[in-house]
Amino acid sequence: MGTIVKDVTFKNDIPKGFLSDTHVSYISTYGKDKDDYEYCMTEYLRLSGIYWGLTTLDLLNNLDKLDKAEIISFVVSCQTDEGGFSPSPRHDCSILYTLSAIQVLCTYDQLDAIDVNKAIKYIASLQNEDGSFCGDVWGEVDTRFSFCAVASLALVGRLWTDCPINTKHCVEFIVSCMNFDGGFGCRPGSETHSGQVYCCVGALSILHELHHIDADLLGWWLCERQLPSGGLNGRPEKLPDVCYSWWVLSSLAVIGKMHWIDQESLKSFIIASQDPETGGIADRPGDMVDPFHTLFGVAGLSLMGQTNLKKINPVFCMPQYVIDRLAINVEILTI
Amino acid sequence: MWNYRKKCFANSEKPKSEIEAMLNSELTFIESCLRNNPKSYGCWHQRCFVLLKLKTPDWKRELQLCNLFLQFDDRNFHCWDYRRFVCSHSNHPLKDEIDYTNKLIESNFSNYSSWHYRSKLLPEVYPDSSVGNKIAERKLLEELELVQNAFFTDPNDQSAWFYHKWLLGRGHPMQSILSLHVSRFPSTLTCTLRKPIKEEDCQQALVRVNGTVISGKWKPHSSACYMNTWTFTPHEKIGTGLISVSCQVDGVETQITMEIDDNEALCCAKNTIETFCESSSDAKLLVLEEELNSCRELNELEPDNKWVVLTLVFLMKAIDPIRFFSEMKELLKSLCIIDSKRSCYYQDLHSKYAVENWIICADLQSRKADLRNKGITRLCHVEFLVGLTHLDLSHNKLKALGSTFLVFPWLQELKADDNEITEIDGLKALPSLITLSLNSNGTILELR
Repeated sequence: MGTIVKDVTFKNDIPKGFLSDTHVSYISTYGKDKDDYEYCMTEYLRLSGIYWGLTTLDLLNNLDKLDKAEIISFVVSCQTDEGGFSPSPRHDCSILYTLSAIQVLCTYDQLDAIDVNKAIKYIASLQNEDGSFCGDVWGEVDTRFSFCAVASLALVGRLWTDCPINTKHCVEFIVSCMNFDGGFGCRPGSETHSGQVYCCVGALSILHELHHIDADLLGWWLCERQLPSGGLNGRPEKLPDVCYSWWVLSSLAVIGKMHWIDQESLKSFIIASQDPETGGIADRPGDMVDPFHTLFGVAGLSLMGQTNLKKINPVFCMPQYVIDRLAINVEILTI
Repeated sequence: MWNYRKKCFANSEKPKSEIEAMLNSELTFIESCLRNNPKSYGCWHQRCFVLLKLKTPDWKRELQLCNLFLQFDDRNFHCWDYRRFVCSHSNHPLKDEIDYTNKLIESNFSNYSSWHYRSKLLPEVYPDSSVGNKIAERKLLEELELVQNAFFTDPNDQSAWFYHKWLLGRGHPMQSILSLHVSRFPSTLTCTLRKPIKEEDCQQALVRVNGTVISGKWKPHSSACYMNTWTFTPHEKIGTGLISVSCQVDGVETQITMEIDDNEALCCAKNTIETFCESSSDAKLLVLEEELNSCRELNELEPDNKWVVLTLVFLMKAIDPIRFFSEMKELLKSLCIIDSKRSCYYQDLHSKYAVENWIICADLQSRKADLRNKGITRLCHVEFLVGLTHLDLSHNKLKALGSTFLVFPWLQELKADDNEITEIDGLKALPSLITLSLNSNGTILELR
């Protein structure tokens, strides 16, 4: 029997139009109730959650809805003795939350609130001889961590001057993770996955090493993520998910192939995944919303030129004006 | 939580035998967690941690665990990665792993992970002696047959079609010098490479006039990190008379002769079909032609299956892109209808093949290019066209003359009437441009 294409179909009562006000109130009231079950259970990723919420509100031109001082003081409290950041105080630190911390403080233009040098030392200490990066002291290697390292150092201005890591080996390791389909996995030998593609393409873009990529081949694999519903999946034979509107779309933008997908139908998919009652965006139409998918849905819409949103940078997933203020220049392919 | 447990093991002062027992019971605990959530990074990494700490790890059992989890979900990449970890630490024969993927491919449809694994295993177990990371030919031909069986059995399973494209080969181009230009007034030498290089690679380059190395300065054509085109300005002017100039850079070399009365000389590398694809042996070509016929039959049975149509295009390209061009063009047009979401991809693909075929057949030494009426949506391979003085891109579908156009140092005349151009950023640095024609285009945004 033939394979059936895994996809979703829209019901009739899906939202039409971008409900920006509902998303502003969803994010700005999220986490107000510190006893909320979901809030407590997501303590292990709190700092990233703050980055997701903050970036979403800034894109929606409502950053002032959050308590800047409270957030900055929370971020500061997450810096550990090792120099890295934990998702919440008293949790273990890792490179993932170190990047989130830096992203939040850059958006607020308050990097001086933390010990930047210590954070840089922590990141550098996680690089291995083969150029790869561990997530933390326990040694898990993944190309996600290469992106975290490169992006963090670029944001704090230590990638091109006084660079504490071996960028040549970093690039060699990422290239060693390239697969038959032009994409990238977690480690050498790992299967291509859109999230890893975003991380590797992003890191190579920051380092101006995109010529290692076969843009036509990877662009083809990426544009084949689009399903009949208009949504994008993470890899073949998987269901569409709004977060891939970001991982896939931004990767396509960096390699100059955003026009290889049907943007109108992707927009419809993201719009359909909104919840008009609570605000926020879910992974697909009808599901429960969360801040993670809300950010990536809004970010995807921004990348496709949605008018009442700030412009987003496809590599850092941060507002472009912040990247401009930091005078960071990434490589974007145009053909 | 997992870190806390790792800390306990790392800092434990208990006797070794007791730790060994604790580590083994940790494995049982991890397994029960995995059954609940087989996609937890932390959980799988914990298992790696334990296996590396054990004095006598049971790798066979670990492989069995992988078999079990892959039976539940053969797309679980955490499990596949763990399987590769187990194999590398236990020196498990890779041939057995190839057999394992065979089993999975024969019995299941959701095979992308298995084909992916094969793409890593085959070049290692059956390497092609001449080139790195390629499969020995006889194995490659067997593999083509295997994947063909897969997509004929289930033409809607995409994994086989993706894998097949890889087997056709895409020719990772080797470094070469595409063109060398020398002029006496001003004294410069301009070298364009197939693969871009950095400033530090240029420092090793050598320029010789009549056999003698001359000194000078290299400059790229823009401020990008990597560039294809570099200009060398010698410290002493290039003299008169018949001279031979050679340039050696990034492991490749070419040479040009300059006549007595010439101020300028240009030599362009000869291009063939092999410039843009992997050369195939007669045996492989025979297999590909048979596959082409079989796919044509499949296309008649399933005319709306875009994978078949696209694979017909890829096969034709691999066999002879010039002979089959008009058919490829029609097939790509039909794909814009069958698979309209990706119509820009198919148009761009067609443009690439059109430009490649033009480059193969063109006399680049004439320095004039007529690319009118080709349905081009993008201009690829500009590095092959650097020496042009005249370029006509009229009656195409270009939307922009972007930064890729910054590479034409000697372009005097550029015509691009009847396109859809709205952006002309690339024109801001064309030093030799005298004539520009952009009639019947979109509304052009300001030149910044």
